[in-house]
Amino acid sequence: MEEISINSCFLKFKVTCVKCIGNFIYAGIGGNLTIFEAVNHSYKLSGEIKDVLPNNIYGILPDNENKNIAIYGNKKLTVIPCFPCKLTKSHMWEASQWIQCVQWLSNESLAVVTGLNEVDLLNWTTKHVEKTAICEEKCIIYSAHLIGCEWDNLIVLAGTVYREILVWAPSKAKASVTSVIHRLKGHNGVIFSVTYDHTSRRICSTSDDRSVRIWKVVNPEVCDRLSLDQWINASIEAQITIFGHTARVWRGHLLDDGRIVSIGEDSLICIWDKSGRNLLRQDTHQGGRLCCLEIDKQCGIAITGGADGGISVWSLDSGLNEIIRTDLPDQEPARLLVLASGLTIVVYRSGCLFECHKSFVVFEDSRFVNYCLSEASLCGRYVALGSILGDVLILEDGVAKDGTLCLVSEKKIFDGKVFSLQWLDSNYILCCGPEGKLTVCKLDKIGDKLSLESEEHFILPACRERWITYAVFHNPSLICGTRNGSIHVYQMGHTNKKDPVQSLHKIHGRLGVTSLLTNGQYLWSTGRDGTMRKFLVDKATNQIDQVLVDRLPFSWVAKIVETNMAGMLVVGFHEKDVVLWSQRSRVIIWRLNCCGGHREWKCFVKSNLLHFYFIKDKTIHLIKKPLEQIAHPPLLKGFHTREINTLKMLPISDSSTILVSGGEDNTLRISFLECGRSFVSKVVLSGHLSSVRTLAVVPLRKKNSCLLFTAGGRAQMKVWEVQYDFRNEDEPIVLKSVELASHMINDELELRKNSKSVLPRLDPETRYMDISVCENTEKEGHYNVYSACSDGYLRVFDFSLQQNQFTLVTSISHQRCLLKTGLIDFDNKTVALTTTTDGRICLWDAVNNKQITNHQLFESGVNSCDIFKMADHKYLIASGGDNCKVAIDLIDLEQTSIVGLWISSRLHFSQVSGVKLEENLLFTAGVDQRVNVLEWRTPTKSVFMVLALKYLKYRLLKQISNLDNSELIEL
Amino acid sequence: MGKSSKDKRDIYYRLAKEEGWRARSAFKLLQIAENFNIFEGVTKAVDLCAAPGSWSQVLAKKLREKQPDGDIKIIAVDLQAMAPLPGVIELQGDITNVSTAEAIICHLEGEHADLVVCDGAPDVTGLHDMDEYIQAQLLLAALNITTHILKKGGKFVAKVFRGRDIDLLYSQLRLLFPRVTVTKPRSSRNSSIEAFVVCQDYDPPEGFQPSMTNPLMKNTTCDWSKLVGINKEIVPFLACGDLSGFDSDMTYPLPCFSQADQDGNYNCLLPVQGPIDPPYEEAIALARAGNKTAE
Repeated sequence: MEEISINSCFLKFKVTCVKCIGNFIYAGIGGNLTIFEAVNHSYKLSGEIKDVLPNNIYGILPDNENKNIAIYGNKKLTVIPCFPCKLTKSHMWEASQWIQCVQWLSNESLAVVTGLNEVDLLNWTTKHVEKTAICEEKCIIYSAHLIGCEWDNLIVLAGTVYREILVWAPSKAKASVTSVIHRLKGHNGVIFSVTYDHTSRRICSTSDDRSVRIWKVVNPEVCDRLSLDQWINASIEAQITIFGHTARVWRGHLLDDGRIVSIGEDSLICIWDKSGRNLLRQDTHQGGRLCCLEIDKQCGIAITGGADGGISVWSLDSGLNEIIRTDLPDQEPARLLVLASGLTIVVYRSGCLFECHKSFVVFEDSRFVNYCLSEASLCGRYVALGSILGDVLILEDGVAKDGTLCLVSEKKIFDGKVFSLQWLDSNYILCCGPEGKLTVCKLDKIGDKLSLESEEHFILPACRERWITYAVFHNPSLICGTRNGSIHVYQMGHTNKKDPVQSLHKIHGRLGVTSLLTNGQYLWSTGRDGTMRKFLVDKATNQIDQVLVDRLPFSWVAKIVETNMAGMLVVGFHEKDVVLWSQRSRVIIWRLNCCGGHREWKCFVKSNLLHFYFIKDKTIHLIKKPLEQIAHPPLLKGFHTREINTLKMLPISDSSTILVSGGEDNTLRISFLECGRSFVSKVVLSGHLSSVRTLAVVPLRKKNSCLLFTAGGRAQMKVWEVQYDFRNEDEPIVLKSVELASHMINDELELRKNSKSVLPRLDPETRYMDISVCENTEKEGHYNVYSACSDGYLRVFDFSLQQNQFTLVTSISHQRCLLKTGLIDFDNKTVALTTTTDGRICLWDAVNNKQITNHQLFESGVNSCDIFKMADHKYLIASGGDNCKVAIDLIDLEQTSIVGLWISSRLHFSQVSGVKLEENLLFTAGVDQRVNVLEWRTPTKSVFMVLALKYLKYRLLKQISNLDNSELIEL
Repeated sequence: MGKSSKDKRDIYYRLAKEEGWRARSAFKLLQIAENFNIFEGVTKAVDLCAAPGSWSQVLAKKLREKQPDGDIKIIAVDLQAMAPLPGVIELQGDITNVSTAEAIICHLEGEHADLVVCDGAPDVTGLHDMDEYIQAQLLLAALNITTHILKKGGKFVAKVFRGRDIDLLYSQLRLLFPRVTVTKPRSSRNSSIEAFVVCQDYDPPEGFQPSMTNPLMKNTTCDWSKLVGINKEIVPFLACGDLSGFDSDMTYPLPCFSQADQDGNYNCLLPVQGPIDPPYEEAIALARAGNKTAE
């Protein structure tokens, strides 16, 4: 048996531990240590040490001089030098039980609390356990904390499974066990964390019961740190109980000023004041699981690691929103205008414009009584007003000495009401009138005077609510979003063409387009359908082509704000709250109760301050929020928040590949992986209603583009078109990734030839387990999709690229949940392979609905399979079972018989989740986190195969769900 | 998502409600019992990690059916409070804690049990390695209690997670039971990592002393930690349950069951037994009260 070593070259995994030491942040990602260094107040990735531990790292602890750091997780512990941090051929110590907590003592010794409520005194110089203290309460503990730096005054806080926090001292052993000093009772479940802050003498614990509890150690003596005897004589009283998390609370942390930080299963990081009042509830890690929390006191930040593999930074001061209120006299104002000069103007229904800080009227006109459209120009110098009779007035700020607005130009543009006014530029304005009339006016300077001239006229296609909600000018196109959710493109400069040159009807749904934004060759739109959409504007044809749809966690998407510091921010409304969503971190980074989006509001970013104005109860509320408080750049960007079910690789060069992955978090992601160098998640595709379980990639004729077929929960299947551009190797781009079609089984009546029962009602929990796709060789632009479904049917669909439509061709019943499908191209016929939960492998002539073979392989489900083509109509089919077995069938398709079979039950100890056949090699992977590589040969053309275990088992950290080519690069 | 969505997802969930079991896991024990005949001659049984009580229900029903004249004694233990079951003695406590073990022994009044079952699983934290470790600890704790109370030749059935170190666990079981089989009932989902060990013919090594003075999972006369590496003997795997029975992964259409009323409308049954005194009870009550005052 020959051995080779297998090294992982890339790992994106949950972050189980984060620790700040001096200018560095150390993060445990699996068994690897990732290091960030602070440079000019921001952290930069500075290195990675691989395989520090053979399992996940759950703790990182520097010694008192920051010379060495202890790194531990599971039962393993090692010590490595701190600066420069490198992996030495250091000893790996193994505890008898799970390590819960570690504390450095003097003389290079460590106190280690292990899973059965024991403390070992480990001398790191000799690597020997010198003493072991056993608590009288022998049980599993879920959390522990150590206080003190000497064995003789060491205090253990241990959180049990059963509602108690035990306080005991390892040095106070009587006979073989140590008695408990204090029992803190109050929690009603498992204690997930317990910590102590010696300055305030408070203990913070978090639990299954969704509470954070603060306990006070009461001892009248004044001293810096409590001694062991003082602990024994003290009483510990429950001080505050904080409820607020909506799920289990994982960790708590006491800040010096008395505030408390906690993280929970609900993916929230919360900050509470001394008395338990909530200061901040912050969504994190794309709603995925939070794994760890660290506080950097110097920078005033909390750092969290998530199951999405991301590391995020949160300001500890971001909690409270200071609202600047300006009360207004008289009636409820209709509109609010904020000008560049700082003038804040409210527009009353009386037609009066009122400066609200200095309290004086800046403009008044009787034509605007009861109806006054008002819009500040993009430069913030002009205000356009529109009346019910079609008048448009332009006011200028900063001209009149008394601070009022000066009427510089006016024109009657329509015979009826002005429906909307949109500034396209500082001197172009689009006016929308009755019956869909659009007029572009130019504000021209003739001599000293400004005059408003109609330049071009267009017409909106007939519809209900026929007006514009937003417009932008993208030379030479005018792009308009409408109240009925459509986007129209008009060509400027062709005075005779009044109709749009391109229309995307109702693309944003019936509640309308809310904003448009152009950025280079791209156009972004937002709407009240909960989406923001990205379009590519073709330079030659000026047509816009949708390239991306992002579904946000709120339905009223209002506006995009571009910032240098925090990337693209999206303003929206969710129930009563205004929310700010960060595209970079894909979470809502700020929210405030403003009573909904229907009231008048304004939002912009000026000198890295987010300004949000809204009017409520005759009062202007203004919040100025520093972006650095709410939008810290993440140290590491997150990936899938839950299990990755399926993953395919599209190699683009020797060293780089595109990864397409789908997961339990209902998303698809497209990423670029440059082996050993970088991993960038480019696009998140949302749209699946439930988990994405399987995907298939089919290249298109067009260069650098492919079709992506995805399927999963709720029996939903989708097709996406993906185009990429990797001419610039350092920065590959996903040009386009849009959904072409979506299909759910419930959508159409089913063909059920094999079923005797009359059409049963299909339920929404039917899941697609696997799909295989091949191009239809007879009809161009058609694809055959073979789908394995949990209701026991193999369905064959025809997908037409021209019509973007799925059509059910045939369905075959198996009476068992299907697990996998595969396709064999045999004699220009497609043979479909299916596997089921009762351990069968079937081959089907899917076109004629005929079974070729049906072979009982295992006694339980066949979880994975792979096909390899041999000579003479022979095929190898490798399969891995739920019963820990791996098998290879040799099938002769001409004879339709199985001519050889090899089964091994010695490769895995748990279900085999992936198998892959390559020339002379077989790879297998299992939930036991082992990968086996085997060699196979066919010495003669006879049916016999020789299989030899060539390589030693390699243990992986990750649970492997689906073995694709991907795992090959890890090898 | 309606009330019936879980019904649609899982046939055994639906069947459990129809047949009056507190949880679908009842079918797992039934299928194991059928294959391994573990209820034969059993009058004293202990159910560790019993809540919500479906295994105790199965024990109470099946043991009395099998041994109608026997003096049946069933002790059920769990961390969580459990709604009372007729004919089952209930204890609340942490089975990894010595005091709980002592309470069980006390209840047996010096007698030995014929069967110990454990369907315990940690409240999954999402950290796989931690969950597997806790699961293994639960099993060892159950095993330790078993060594005190199980008669020679008795049986032990427990849930395991087939994770990374499962081979070590098999070796440990082998020291105490000559017959160890891993089984996966048909009612357990294909996708789940759970499996069950069926250990028969309890026969501890000579000189083995069940011990309570040492921490539970560290019996010095039988040092688990020295068993490193893979036992050469492979623990046999057996799927159990009738192949023609229901498939737990398959989605069955709803109305083909007796729950459909005359008009063919689906009638969703309520759970047999709701949770009792869950840890989050106070948090939920406070949140509800808070919502009311806000309104």
